[in-house]
Amino acid sequence: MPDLTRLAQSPKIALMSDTQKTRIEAVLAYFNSLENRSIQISEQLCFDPQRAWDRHCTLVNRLSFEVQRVGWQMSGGHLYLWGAEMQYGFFSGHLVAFEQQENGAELIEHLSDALWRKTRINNRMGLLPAPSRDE
Amino acid sequence: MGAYTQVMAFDLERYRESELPDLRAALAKWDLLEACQKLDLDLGVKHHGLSTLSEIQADRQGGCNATDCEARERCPFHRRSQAPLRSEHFMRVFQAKAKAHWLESPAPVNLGKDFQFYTLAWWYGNELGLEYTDAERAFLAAQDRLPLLLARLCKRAAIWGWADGGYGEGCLGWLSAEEALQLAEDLAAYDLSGDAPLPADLQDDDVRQVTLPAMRACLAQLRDFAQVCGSQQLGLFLERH
Repeated sequence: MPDLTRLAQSPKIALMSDTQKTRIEAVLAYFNSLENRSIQISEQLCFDPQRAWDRHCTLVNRLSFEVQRVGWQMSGGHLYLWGAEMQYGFFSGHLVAFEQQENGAELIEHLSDALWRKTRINNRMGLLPAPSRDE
Repeated sequence: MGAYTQVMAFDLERYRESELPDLRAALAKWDLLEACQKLDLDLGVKHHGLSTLSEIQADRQGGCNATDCEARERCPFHRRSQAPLRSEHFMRVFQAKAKAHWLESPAPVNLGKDFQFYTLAWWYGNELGLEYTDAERAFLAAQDRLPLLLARLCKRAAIWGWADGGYGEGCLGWLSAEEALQLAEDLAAYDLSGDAPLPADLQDDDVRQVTLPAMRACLAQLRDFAQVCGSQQLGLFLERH
């Protein structure tokens, strides 16, 4: 399992603020708890989160898979949940919020000037509703 | 989301007959058709070789970054254009027109999480006993047809294929029926079976034990699917979810 000590060797992560490192550490702990568990992931994209996620939300994707292991790409600071045939990943430098919830977690990334992605991970499948434009 | 890659049968001829006139008319309406240097007659990436395709990157505001195009300020596919919502709209329209000619039969094949342009480049080099950057260099310098076909499949739609979050997802590219048969023929030159010997020069255990066998299995599926589709006068389309 990856831990922050090892990930800190990544130049991208080493340069991050303590706040960001703490956030990534929390994600890592959560990701590590998902190994060998089935998860459901859904994502929303948004051009303007100040106007709330119910507006300018463009696409919603969902997938389910069993996490085989947590992975990372040291050079780029990317973190992954690897399944047999699917994966979910994000660049740690994009992460602006992480909140662990009772049956899952929510991550928000700032992908570019005007693009945010909110990802919900449900580790007790079926309990969290998938996001919709009306939420 | 960049989660996995799927290849579908693509009726390129019907796309050409049914959709291209409308799409070209839309570009002409914006006075873009004559000026465009980046799109070919099928509205794929215009290219004369592998390098053009390997360098192009899909982007939310379009995959074009031509510096000398007189239409770049108003083109929805140029990154300098100042209308991201129009870019998104145009890209959705183009993608929908292409998707309308993806077929359910032969059934799409899931090529898994690892099937991406860079991992294909690594695979090509791995078969030569090379790893990582050396493998990529070998792929980009190759003189045979296979890398070009793989690049077309992974990049031909890059001008308008961007999907969402920037993790490699979207409508990636396509091959014609003739190219699908060429791909099947070129892949048939490789031993992609589970017990195929590993190149002696490969040092990295992860490559030897995981990456290369996994890519061989994916490419064996792609080879067989390409043969079936090409034999039915159908092309291929690659999408990453």
